[in-house]
Amino acid sequence: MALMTDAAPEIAKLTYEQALAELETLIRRLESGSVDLAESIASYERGVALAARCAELLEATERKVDRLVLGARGEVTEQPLDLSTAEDG
Amino acid sequence: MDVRSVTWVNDLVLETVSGESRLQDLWVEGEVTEVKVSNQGHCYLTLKDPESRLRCALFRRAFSAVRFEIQPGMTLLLHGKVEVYRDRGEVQMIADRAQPSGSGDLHLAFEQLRRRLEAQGLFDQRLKRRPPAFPRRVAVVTSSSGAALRDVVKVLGRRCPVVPVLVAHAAVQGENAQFQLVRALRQVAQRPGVEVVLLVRGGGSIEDLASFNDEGLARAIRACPVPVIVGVGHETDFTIADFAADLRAPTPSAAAEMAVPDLAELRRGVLALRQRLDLAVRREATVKGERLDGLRHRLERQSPARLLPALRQRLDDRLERLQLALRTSLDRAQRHLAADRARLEALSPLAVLARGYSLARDEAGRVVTSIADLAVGQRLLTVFADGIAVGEVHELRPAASRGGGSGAARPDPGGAEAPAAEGGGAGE
Repeated sequence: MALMTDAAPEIAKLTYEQALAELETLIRRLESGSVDLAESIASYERGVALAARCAELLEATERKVDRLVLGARGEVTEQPLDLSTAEDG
Repeated sequence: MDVRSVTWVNDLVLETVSGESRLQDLWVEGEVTEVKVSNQGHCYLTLKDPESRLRCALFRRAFSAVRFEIQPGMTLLLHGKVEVYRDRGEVQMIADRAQPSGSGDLHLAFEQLRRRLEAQGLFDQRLKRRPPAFPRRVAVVTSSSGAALRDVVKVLGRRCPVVPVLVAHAAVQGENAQFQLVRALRQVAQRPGVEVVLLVRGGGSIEDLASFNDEGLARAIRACPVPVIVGVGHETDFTIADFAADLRAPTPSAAAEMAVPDLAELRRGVLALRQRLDLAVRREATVKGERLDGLRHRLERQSPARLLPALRQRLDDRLERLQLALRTSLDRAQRHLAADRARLEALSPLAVLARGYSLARDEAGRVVTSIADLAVGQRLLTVFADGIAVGEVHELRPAASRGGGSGAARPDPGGAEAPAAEGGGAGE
């Protein structure tokens, strides 16, 4: 299906909420039983990709905490925040 | 002497007290002892100073407007009037307002600012924006040395470590703190990916919270391009920033909880959806597969292949009959052969010899069947069943008639040869 061919690269750009919303819609359609076989196979493949995208976005990476720093000339930069300095507050 | 009733006395005291204008609209300051809240929501307490005590009551309506907790030991300012509780003859103050002592001006200023901004619609519920359930990035505006930051970062990391955090330091109290807060708020809101801002600080007195009770900060919150969650100190602390916020959290930790989803819960949600997807497709496949199976069965019932076993059986049957026929004819052939052999044996000259006949041969081994073949003096071999006698022809006598010399003629098929042999034999 046309939907499938240009879908794959697009899924990687979805936010968690977009992927989740589409997955839910897709499942409801499948559950209604109103889909033909070819479409249900395509839907399933896309659903698996969407679920994988959601899971990927929930994959815990290293916690990233930055700190906004105001430079001498008023420019704003971000620097990693050493959390130990926040502990002694 | 006049004797008065108890009620008379209490009535006169009541009358006197209510006639005293200085007791009708006054502020009283004292240390709180014995606080009690009744089931109906009224608050009864006693104020004391070094020399005496005064019973006070804050009825439900006035008490519910009190934004702080009235605790024994605190110095309290009460506004109201003094009355006599006629049933008991007790003097008590009925308060309509309560303030912690020493902060009267700030409270007044706070109230005035709150009313003014509210009248301007700055706290309108319709202005409140809902932060995204899963922000790409969370900004925190607070003191970088405060416990609030530590709490917020801890909660964010525990609930949702995948969301990056951007911290902007601002003094949360003291001179110019409100300006630092406003500037930090503006700066973080413009950083890429920031979709919600947490404006937090620990609890404190109304003096400590002055920077959060600032009109400029309230307007900056409303002007912020992304939703702002305000979490200040403990639950009982309300600030102007709380009213202006898109979302008000009772504490900094609670603000962090509101800002990000619980990752474990989301994971469970995704897993559940994944299972639903599998189930939906499997059910779909089962339904379609069953239909296919049904069709295949119906097709198979029409297939020529189902005739095959019958054909095979018929073939087997034929083969068996063929084998049987072959065996039968073979048997018959064998039986014929045996009979033929018997007849052959019966025809053998040796068998004739065994019955008492003999056979004449010349020296060359030729069977002699006529005296014409013989000459006197010729050697003649007479063959018996058990051997050969060698003799010599002395005389040749032609026969007078046929069969005359053959008294032992037999109705044997081989009889035609016998007379010659017999003749030969008789010649002995």
